[in-house]
Amino acid sequence: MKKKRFLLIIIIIIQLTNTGCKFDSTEVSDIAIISGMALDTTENDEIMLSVLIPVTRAANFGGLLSGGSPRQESTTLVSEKGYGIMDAYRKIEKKLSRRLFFSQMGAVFIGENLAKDGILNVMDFISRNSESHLGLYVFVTQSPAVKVLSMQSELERDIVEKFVKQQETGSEFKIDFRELINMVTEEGQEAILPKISLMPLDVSDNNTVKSSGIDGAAVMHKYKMVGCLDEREARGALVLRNEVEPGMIAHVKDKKGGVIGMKIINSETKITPIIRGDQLEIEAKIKAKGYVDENSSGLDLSDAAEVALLQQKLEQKFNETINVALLKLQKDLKSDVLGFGTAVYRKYPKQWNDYYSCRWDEEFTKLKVKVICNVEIPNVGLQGKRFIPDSE
Amino acid sequence: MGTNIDEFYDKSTASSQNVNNNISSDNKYSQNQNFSGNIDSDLQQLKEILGGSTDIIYREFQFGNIRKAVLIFIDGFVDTNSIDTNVLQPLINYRGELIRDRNIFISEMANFIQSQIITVSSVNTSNNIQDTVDNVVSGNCALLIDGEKHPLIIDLKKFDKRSVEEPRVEAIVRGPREGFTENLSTNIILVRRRLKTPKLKVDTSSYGRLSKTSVSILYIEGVAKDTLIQEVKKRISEIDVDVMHGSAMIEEIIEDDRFSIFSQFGVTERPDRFASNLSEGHVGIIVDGTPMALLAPGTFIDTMKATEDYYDRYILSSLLSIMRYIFLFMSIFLPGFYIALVSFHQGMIPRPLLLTIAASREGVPFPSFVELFIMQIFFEGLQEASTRLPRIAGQTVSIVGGLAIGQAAIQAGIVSASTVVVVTVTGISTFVIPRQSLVASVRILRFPMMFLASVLGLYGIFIGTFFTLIHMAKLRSFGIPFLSPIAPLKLRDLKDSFVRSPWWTMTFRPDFVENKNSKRMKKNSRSNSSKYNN
Repeated sequence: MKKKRFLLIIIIIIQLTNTGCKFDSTEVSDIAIISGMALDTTENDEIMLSVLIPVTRAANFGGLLSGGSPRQESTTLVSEKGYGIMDAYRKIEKKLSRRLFFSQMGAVFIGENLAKDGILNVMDFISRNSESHLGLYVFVTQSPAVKVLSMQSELERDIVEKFVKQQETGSEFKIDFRELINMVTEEGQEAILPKISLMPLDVSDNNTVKSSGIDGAAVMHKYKMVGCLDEREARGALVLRNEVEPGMIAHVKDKKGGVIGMKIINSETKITPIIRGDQLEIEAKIKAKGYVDENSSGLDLSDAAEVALLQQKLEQKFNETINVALLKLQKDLKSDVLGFGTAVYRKYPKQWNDYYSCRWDEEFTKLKVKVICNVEIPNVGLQGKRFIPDSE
Repeated sequence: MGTNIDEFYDKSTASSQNVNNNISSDNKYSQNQNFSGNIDSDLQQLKEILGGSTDIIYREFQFGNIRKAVLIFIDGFVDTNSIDTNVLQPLINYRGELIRDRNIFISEMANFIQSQIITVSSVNTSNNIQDTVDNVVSGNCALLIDGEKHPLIIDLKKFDKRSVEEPRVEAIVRGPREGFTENLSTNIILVRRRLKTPKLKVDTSSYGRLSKTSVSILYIEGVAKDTLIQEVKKRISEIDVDVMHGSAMIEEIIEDDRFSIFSQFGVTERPDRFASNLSEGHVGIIVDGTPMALLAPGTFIDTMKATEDYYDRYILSSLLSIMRYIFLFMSIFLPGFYIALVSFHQGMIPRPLLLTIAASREGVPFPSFVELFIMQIFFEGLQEASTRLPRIAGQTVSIVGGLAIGQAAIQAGIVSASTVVVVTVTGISTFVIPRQSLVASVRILRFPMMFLASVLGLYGIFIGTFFTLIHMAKLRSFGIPFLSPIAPLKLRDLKDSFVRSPWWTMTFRPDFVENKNSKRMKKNSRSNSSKYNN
């Protein structure tokens, strides 16, 4: 018995060391960790794949890490063209000493032109590859996407980290890959992606440093891009999708040109489809709460009546923004990124299946949407009136 | 099922059909050979057996100026002052009348001397030669009187021993500082001082053919379970060795699972911990010659309790106790996790950390698990070295070790900084564990975990964990499951496991005691009027 036990242990050790998952173990220094990926189309209808790889080789060749070395890290941009994404990928592999490692990829940037051609092959590439994680963020960029990837970030280690951080803390459209898949495949919903444009970091005349930032959204229909929403329209669309992040700002101007700004703390949108006889109508109820951030108008906010007035004005403003967004989406882009179709499907499945689902594209453009806004300002900030100079 | 000891006794009784006498005599002289009564021939016989040792003293004198007598003892083992005043003086100076009457006197001589002349507290008669010889080599004095067949054995032991001092391994900040010494009677007194009850029973016997070491079994009758006491006594009585090398030998011989890496006994050097465990129903074993006392049964939770927990306030103790468990987890799994994540699952590491690790590993010649193995073994070696250091060299080695393992190796590019961090953190976590027995188990467990992680990644770690947990769950210490009160779950005892609940909640004795009278404290022992005190 003792001998058997001993033999068993020996056998297990031999077996583990010889056939264990050794083939799967990869040294950290054998992989090229990809930060972000950019995809564009080229003139010959080829696809250009670019990847951003942070270089981990320390300054000295001995392996010594001086204090604060992460700052000194640089990144390498590698790109290749091919007739398909996999083709371009294989060509890149030929150029690199290490295996590409997708598990740490933070963001994918899709060039405008490629988005207009269709993003299905991009989505397929990312999801079929078992290494990518579904939480990576997807962006559409002003062409070409590789330009964005090649920029340096002013505050972060690399440009991808900048956008990932911005998505997590900002109030723009935030679409990760899982959500993109849901939107593309769901009935009654179209995809929408945040759009990155080049913009100067410093708008005074001194600086010509180029930077990039999120500027509105790109609207898809089925899987092709059909147009963009600008900043304001994107905000309206966000509200309708119930994706308002704390921090969004709304402001009203009064007659004298003063501005009152409100920062939204939370907001909830309820979309209710109502079928009256033959007519389908959508009712969007929005409830927002915020506090006053800036007051350069004549309104005295310590007076409750004035605050009520302000609330009304803000509600009007909300209404306007939302209607502008709706107009663009319904009449111009004709794409239901707001999920109205899904809402109808949920509430009236029979009618959806029978009538609306095949006609949703046109039905959406004819849809009547009633917007009801309710804005509450529980807190007007640290002071009521604005500063009044002596002479007034 | 559960904590029933009785089921396990059938197994152990079946395998122990041959119960030997604990002292086997392999001497030339049979046990029952008696003295003749003639002092010259008796002395001759004794000298033959004991001869060759120059430290055995044969003090011949005249009892009452008429009878020949010999006092045999070992120099250095007895209190010579006491011999002089309490034995030799009364005997030599005796001038009483009784001694002249040969007939009556001989038959009652031993009794007479014992009860009326020798003013020493511990005096016995010896029955045969073997007994006398054993007593002399154990440090007692043998008094042979011409005509008397039964020598007297006088206990006047006095020898150099360590005084009661702070236990080295289990020192605490707030609380008593007495620790057990090597002397059995001192230790028993330390326990008796804390449990002044007649229910505390001390059962001492000698084991070891050559060493005749005294071993005491202590328990509190009525609190400790009877079957437990019987089983402990039985197992110890079956020990038959040449020399009894302290409590570790007893532990290894009588434990339930001999191949387990976990110790199934509590080991302590502190009388207060020992006494408090006795009061909870444990059975204690103290061995002469070693300050380490054993407690049966021993559970896993016991090994993670620090004595200080009971002398500090309960909130702090509870938090520290939880922190200790976290460190325990880290000390076993951290190297394995590191290897698994860095070699197999790089996607699970947050990106900045991964980049830092990658940067620190640039230029390092070894694969990560080889590197970690080397560093870990080096660290274990450093620990070994530090226990053997003469005090003067202690500082040097710690500096050299720290510098060598740390900076210099990283700078030379032999190891990476992240590996050194992992090894250091693991080492520190190991020192957090209160009991040395668990420290040993952890150090042993760590390496198979690292090995499994290096061949099978995270899956390997889980396999290792399952095997260990299964083994721990199956392990029993005198019938008590090793993992109680976690498995089987005894909610009432959990109060005293991961956290230290305040004293006023611990109204019941631990579950394994299973006695009718399980209450050890009056509930709500604060008087109600204290609430209204201003």
